[in-house]
Formats: sequence, C-alpha cells, structure tokens
Amino acid sequence: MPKVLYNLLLIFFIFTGGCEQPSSPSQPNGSVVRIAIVAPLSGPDQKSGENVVSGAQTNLTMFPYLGDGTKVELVAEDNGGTKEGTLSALKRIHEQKDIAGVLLMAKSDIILPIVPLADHYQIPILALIATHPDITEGNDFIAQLGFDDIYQGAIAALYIRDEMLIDRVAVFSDPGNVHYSYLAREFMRKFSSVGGEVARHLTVDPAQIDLRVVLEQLREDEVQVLYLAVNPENVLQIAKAAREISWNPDMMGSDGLLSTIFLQYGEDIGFVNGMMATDFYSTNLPSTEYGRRVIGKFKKLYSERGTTYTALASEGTSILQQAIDRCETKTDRNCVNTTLRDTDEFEGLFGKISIHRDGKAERPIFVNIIKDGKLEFLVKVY
Amino acid sequence: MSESEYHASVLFVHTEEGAVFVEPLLANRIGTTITPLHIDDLRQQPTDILEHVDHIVIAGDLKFIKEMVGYSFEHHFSIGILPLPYQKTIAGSLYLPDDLPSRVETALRNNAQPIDIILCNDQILLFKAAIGRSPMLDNPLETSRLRMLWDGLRKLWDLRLQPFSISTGGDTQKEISTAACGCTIVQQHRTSLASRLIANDSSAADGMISLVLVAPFSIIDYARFVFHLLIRSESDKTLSQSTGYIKSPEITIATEKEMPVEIDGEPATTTPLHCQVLPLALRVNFGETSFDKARLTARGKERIDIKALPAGKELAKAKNKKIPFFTYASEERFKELFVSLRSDARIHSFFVVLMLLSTILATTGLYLDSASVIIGAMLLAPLMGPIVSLAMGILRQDESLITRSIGTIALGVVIALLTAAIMTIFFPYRPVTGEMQARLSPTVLDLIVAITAGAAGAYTKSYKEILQSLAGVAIAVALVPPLAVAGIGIGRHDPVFFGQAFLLFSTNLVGITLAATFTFRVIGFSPAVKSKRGIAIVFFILLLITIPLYLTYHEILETREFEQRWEEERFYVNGKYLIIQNALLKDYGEKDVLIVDIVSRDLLERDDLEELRRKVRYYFSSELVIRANVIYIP
Repeated sequence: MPKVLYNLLLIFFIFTGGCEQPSSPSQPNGSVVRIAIVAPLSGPDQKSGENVVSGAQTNLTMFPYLGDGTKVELVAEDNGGTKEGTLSALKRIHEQKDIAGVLLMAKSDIILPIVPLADHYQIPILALIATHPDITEGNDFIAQLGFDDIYQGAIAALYIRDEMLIDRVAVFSDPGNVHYSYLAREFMRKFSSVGGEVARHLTVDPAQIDLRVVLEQLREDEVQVLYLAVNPENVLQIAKAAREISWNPDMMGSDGLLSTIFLQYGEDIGFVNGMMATDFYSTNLPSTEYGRRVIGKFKKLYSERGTTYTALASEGTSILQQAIDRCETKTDRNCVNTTLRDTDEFEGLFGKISIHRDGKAERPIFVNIIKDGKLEFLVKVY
Repeated sequence: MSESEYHASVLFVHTEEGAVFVEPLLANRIGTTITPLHIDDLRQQPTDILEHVDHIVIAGDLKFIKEMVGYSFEHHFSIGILPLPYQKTIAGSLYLPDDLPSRVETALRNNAQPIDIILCNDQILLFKAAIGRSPMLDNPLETSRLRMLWDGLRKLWDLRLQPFSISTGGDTQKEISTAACGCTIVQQHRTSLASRLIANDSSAADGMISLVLVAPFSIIDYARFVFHLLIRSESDKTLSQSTGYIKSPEITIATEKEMPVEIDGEPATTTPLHCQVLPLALRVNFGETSFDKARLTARGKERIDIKALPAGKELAKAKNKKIPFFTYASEERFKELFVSLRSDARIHSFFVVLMLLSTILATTGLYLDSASVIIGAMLLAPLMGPIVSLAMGILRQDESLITRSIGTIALGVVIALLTAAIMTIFFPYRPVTGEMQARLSPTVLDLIVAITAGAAGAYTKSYKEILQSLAGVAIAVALVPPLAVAGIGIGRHDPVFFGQAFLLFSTNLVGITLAATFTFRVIGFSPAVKSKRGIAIVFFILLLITIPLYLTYHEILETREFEQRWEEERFYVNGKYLIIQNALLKDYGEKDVLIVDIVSRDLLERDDLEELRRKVRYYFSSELVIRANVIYIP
C-alpha cells in the first residue's frame, strides 16, 4: 500500500475515533414482529403507564428493525393497574401469535398472583418495575429488569449503617403490600445483622394513626433515620407530618418514589426534597452512548419529562428486541424466552445489565438524594 | 464681603438658551441692577450699547461667547460668564462654584482677572485647536469619557505621521521640521486630557501658546502614552515619550498639504496656521475656591522640547507613513540591552561551570526528593539568558545571535544530560521520587507556565530597574530540573522517562522563546525590516509540542475523573458492603492498576475477593487490575 494512502487511512481512523460505528439500519424485509406492552393506560396510574409507553416508543423509533429487516411494532394493552386487567391483557396477547414478548409495567402485588399462570401462557414476560424476588420463582417465563427487594433492602440498610454511620432507625411499612412489606423486612434483617438498632417498626394507616404523634415519639426516641417502605402517597403524608412538627430527620425511600410523586403528586414534590432514595438511575451521572441517544431522542419526541419508568421501558424494549433478534423465527416465544434469559452485558442507560437464566437481573443500584425534583447521585453499588 | 466689591449695574447679554438666567440674575442677593439684553438686540447697535459698559454678564453657546469676547477687545469691558448646564468645561476652566446663586455672585463681582487670548488665523481660540489626529487628546469639548475612548480607539488604527514645519516667534525665533500624527494647541489648562501634559508648565495668562505634538512609534506606543497620561500625577513635570512641546508667544504651523484645523471642537480654518497671543487681552471673572491667582499672573518662559520627535534621517523615513502596530527599534537606541543579550548568547566558562553545578544540585535534589535543593539549582541555572537572546535573535533575524544562542543552549543541554546520566549510573540507589514524577507528565499547563515565564523574562530583561525579578522567572520555569530528570532517564536506560522529561524541557524552551519573542515585539524591539520566518518556525514547533501536551493533560483529567468516579463506587459481594476510598490509577505500561482502599465491616475472604474481581471485570474492564488495601470498620 502506498505510504500516502496508508497515512490517509490512519488519519481517517484517528478522526473517526477508531471505534465501531452503529450499524446502519437494516433493509426492511416486509416481515413484522410485535412486542406487547401491558401498562395502566387508565385508572390512577395512567400517567405512569403512558410514561412507560413513551419510553418503549422512543426505543422503537431509534431501532425500528431487527438485524434481518423485520419490523418491530408495539402493541399497548391497558391493564388499568389491576390484577384482573393484567390477566385479561395477557390472555389477549397469548392469542396473537405475532407477539413475541411482553413488557409488563405492573407492581409486584399485581404480578405475583399471575406467576403460577406464566408457564401456562408460555409467553416471555419482562417485568419492568416489579422488584419482589418471588416474581421469578416457580415459573420459567417471567424475568425481571430491575434488582430485587432483597438487594434493595440490604443496600439501603448498609448505606445507612456503614456510610452514614447511623445506629438507630425507624421503619415504616405497608403490611397490605407484598413489595413494601418484603422490602421492610429485608431492610430490618440486614440493618440488625450489622449491629444497627431498629427502634420502631410502624405500619402506616393514616386512618388509624396520627402520624404527628408517632413522629413526635420517634424524635423523643432519638431515631436518626426513617426508612420508608411505603407507597409514595404515604411517603408524602409522613414528610408533611414531619414538617408540621418541625422535625427534619434523614429519610430514605425506595425505587420509583420520585417518578410516581412527579407524575401523580407533582404539586407536593417539594416535600421530598432532601430525601434519599434507592433507584435504578440517577439524574446527574454520565450516561452511556446508548443512554445519550435515548435521552436525546425522547426529548425530541416528547414534551414530558422522562422518569425511571421511561428509562426502564426503553431498556426493556431494547433487551427484548435483542432477544427476538437472536432467534431465527422471530415469533418463537420459547426461543425468545431463552435468549432473554441469556442477556449478557447489555449496555443500558447508565451501565451494564445482564438477565440470568433464573430471570434475575444483575445491574447496579443507585443511592440518590432528591434535590429540586431530581435524583442527585450519592453512590452506585454493583 | 462688602457691597462695593460687586458691580452696581450690569448688562446681561444672552442667547435664547441663556435666557434661563434672567430671573436668577434679577433676583440676585447683592442688589446689582440687571439689564437683560438679547444678543440680536445688541447686534443692531453694538457701539451705542457697549460704549460706556464696564462689565457684562453673558450666557449662551461657545460661538456667542467668542462673539462677546470680540466685543470686549473693542470696548474693554470685563466678562462674567454663566455657563449653560452642559458647559461643564467652561465652568471648570473658570473654577466656578457648582450652585447657581454662587455662580451669579461670581459673575457680578468686580474683580475680573486678565487672561491671554489666542488668535489663530484671526479666529479666537478659547480652549484648544487640533490639526491631524491625536486620539483621546483632540476630542471636541464636552465629550463624555466613553465617547472619547471609543473615538480614540477608532482613530488609532489609521494614524500617520504627517510632516509639520513649525516656526516660533518671541525670543527663540526657531524653524522646526518634524513629523507627528497630530498637534494640539492648548489654551485652557485644566479640563482636557491634552492639558494634563503641560498643566504644570503653563497658564491662561502666561503670554504663551502651548503646542503639543504627538509622534508615537507605534499604536502600542500611543496606547502606552495615553495610559501614562491618564495615571500621570499632578506633580509630574516630565514629558511623555513620543511627545513634543513648544511654548512661544507666536507659532506658525505649516504642512505639505493643506490640513483642516479645528478650533474649540469646530472646523474653523486650514493650514498654514498662524497663532499669536494677545497677552492679558480679556478680563474674566473666576471663581475663588481653589483658584491660584499667583500662578495665573505669572509670565511663562519660552520652551522648545522636541527630543522625542522624528528629525533628520528618521524624519525622512517616518513621514507620511502609517504608524505600525508594534514599535520598531534600532540597535543604537537600546545599545546596552543588545550588548547584554549578545553576551548572554556566548559560551563563557562561567556558563559551563554554572550549568555543571546546577545540574549536580538538581540531580541530587531530585534523588533526595528535596524541593528546596531543586529550587537552588533553578536559581543557579544559566539557561534563561541564551534562550532570551535566541528570542531576540529570532525577532530581529539576527543570524549570529541565533546561532550563538542555539550553540550555547545545546551545550547546556548536553552538559545537563551527561552530568545527570553519569551521576545516575554511579548512584547505587535509584528511587523514582515524587520530584522526578512531577516532571514526567508535562501538560498544556506547563506550556502556560513557560509562556508566562518567557514573557516575564523578556520584560524583565528589557528594563534594568526590574532585573532582580529574573530569579522568580527562573524558579517559575525551572529549566535544569527537567533536563536532569531526562539525564536520569538516560542513566536508567528508560526511554519513556527520558522522553517525558525532555518533552517538559522542550515545552519550556519553545514556550519561553515564543513568548519572549512576542514580548520583545510588543515592547518595541522589532527591526525596521520585518521577517516573520523565525517566529513562524517557533510557532510551528510550539503547535507540534502542544499535541502531546494536550494529550497528556487530557489523560490526566480522564484519570482523575476515573479515580473520582471510583471513589463513589460500592460493591455488594456475598452480602458484604464494600466502600471504595482513595482510588489511584497507575499506568504500568501494558496494564492499568487501580490502587484503592476498601472499607468493609466484614472480614473479606477469598470468595469475596473473587466475586469482587468478577464484578470489576464485568462492569468495568477485564484489563483493569485492582490492588486493594482493606480497612475494617470497627
């Protein structure tokens, strides 16, 4: 090769970064495969559901075709945020053979009753936000995109104990909600195991207890941190009551807290300012190349603000697309389920995600502090 | 004050604008009888009205004031001026009080002071006249500071030295040929920037015309001149550089081509301009607060100070030429400096000895990791001299200066490298100390240091008053220690060690040379015949050097960001929470090693470390090697 040509090639290589370019869009082959997204598009959680659909749509706008040119389409099914609605949606999807997989935006207490039926429908389901560890137990078709509550509870406990060096905490939980009760239990177990003292474990039922009185007692007991394994509405009630008695203890919530408050209780967002929360993401961390593209595209397509739900839906869609892409027959649900449970080192918005054979996801958890409606990063735990 | 010190009866002549003072005058507290009269009425029968008048109060624009001054020559009355609100210059030059009642009292006083009147081509000059361009000095009256600055900057870009022939009258009777970009006749000595030049040498009643000529060598020189003018103290009697000053009772200014002349800010006449003083021809009421009567009444001496103006051969070269941005200089003008630079460029025995001693000191200091010993070596190092000489050689395209400087620098480099290498070979223990490591990662920041130090070095060398600051420059730029580290690299047979340290030295060398060249040019040491080749070569080398420096800087930033990110990472391995602290990334050639402190509550076992390693490889890089120091939380 002439030296000049060699040098030109070298310069080109340097200026193009010498790295792999994104593959050019495939030529459409006329085939279509569909991904269903089951989310609350009506009812009290409607905004969260719409946010999830926007996230999935963003990813599909960026990558509308599989490697062989098969077009990917999205089918949105409304579950109304209920168990019955979810079950009914899954039945409808089961009958549509061109749907290769399901993205399920439902809380743990809605999914858990469906778990025994998952193997019957034999359709790969990727649970986007549910973090109860039993969701992946006793079935081969439901996988989790998020970390589970064992991990989340332990990290919250260890952060408070080992990083904040706190000895005494109080835990609020919701016995009527399997996710929050499990999370609270795991938190308390871990916190006690490392020498911490759970001074009080309280269940939240504002109809039965006066939160101001309870918080006043906790202040007298010199409780240093409140761990809030309760739904966002209860979190706000506790925060408001604490403010009413002019007490400003450290508080920590769990995943999706800010997103739900932002979408459903926007006017009260100031009450959670300064509160810590574990989450899948953080607002102020540098994102991956994929993350930058998704965030940029979402901003172009939608006027609304992206939340944890948007990000999970985008990642989930991409992971499911890749799983489908790895199958020769794109609508072969068994194959898609197998490849989905073999997701290795997927480059998510803020780092790598793997989904193992047992349906569990391996991904980092973020401990954030809520500041001016944003999740400011404190630490990232792998 | 008794009533007899005021005029009993006064004529108040005014324009439309000046009519505002009729009422305040009529209501004066002194009891003077006021007869208001519009100027149009006066013009109809001036002789009849002014024949027996002793004092007139006037108010109106500058043209009207000059008209009244003309009448005063004929009819010998004194004048009290009530300035219009915008006539701040007039108020200032007459030392008038600020409030209107006091100004009215001043105007009505019976104590007018005689002052000179200058006639230029038979036109009355009250404040100043300007020919050509003297930015910032020749502004019209009542110009705001901001406007003055803006106009001044605009005019700067097209300054030309115009030939002027000036003949003086009085006792000197001299013919002067020179060139200047502009000349200004200053009559009032208090309110304008031009008057600051001569404020301590003249007055409005000294019987003299004060002519200031400005002939800068360059735009930079002119800017410096204006700056000095602005900060000049009242007691400063020296003339600024590039300024000529002529004081004579009669001056004639001729130019090759006819040039317009502005008198008191208005286009009035053209050259040739003949100006003469009518000594004490006008009697005016002054305010009393800070008025120095003694100075006003003192007669002035004739003076011709044109040393700084082009003359002889210089005049032939300079005239009609556009003033350059930078000053050019002949070697004769700065003989002392050039002798010193030529001496610095030569190889002397003391250069060799100092180079040897400073390298031995630097090498020892580097091995001892002793900053103070290394600073001693920096102060001893004689390399700065030939580098500054090289800069001057490049600027003036002086081949002998360039060759000698380069030869001396090269000898210094060889001495330093050899000395440090030999010392290293014979040292039994060769640690890589912190002081050595600090010189192994040059970045663009080092280039900034070198450029600043180069500019400082050239500046310091140019003015013997601040020569003692060269020591600070030597410490800032530190030429010998990087060379010593490079020599140590040779002794250790480590090309990377040598290369990085030598890159730092090269950065300093090129940065100083370029900055010093540029500084010499700004100060005004360019030759009359310009050549940009030398500067272009140094600039090109500088660009080349910037590339590795930028890359190193970028790498350091990335490393620091990586380390900071790691200090926010946590690992959860087998139920144990690991906190990362104090991350330090070390580059050991093929592999990056991350040295971290891991804080944990639980005892870490082999399985835990295996899981940690797996997570690090999974989330980060399989190439990343971790060395951990475990600290247990009690």
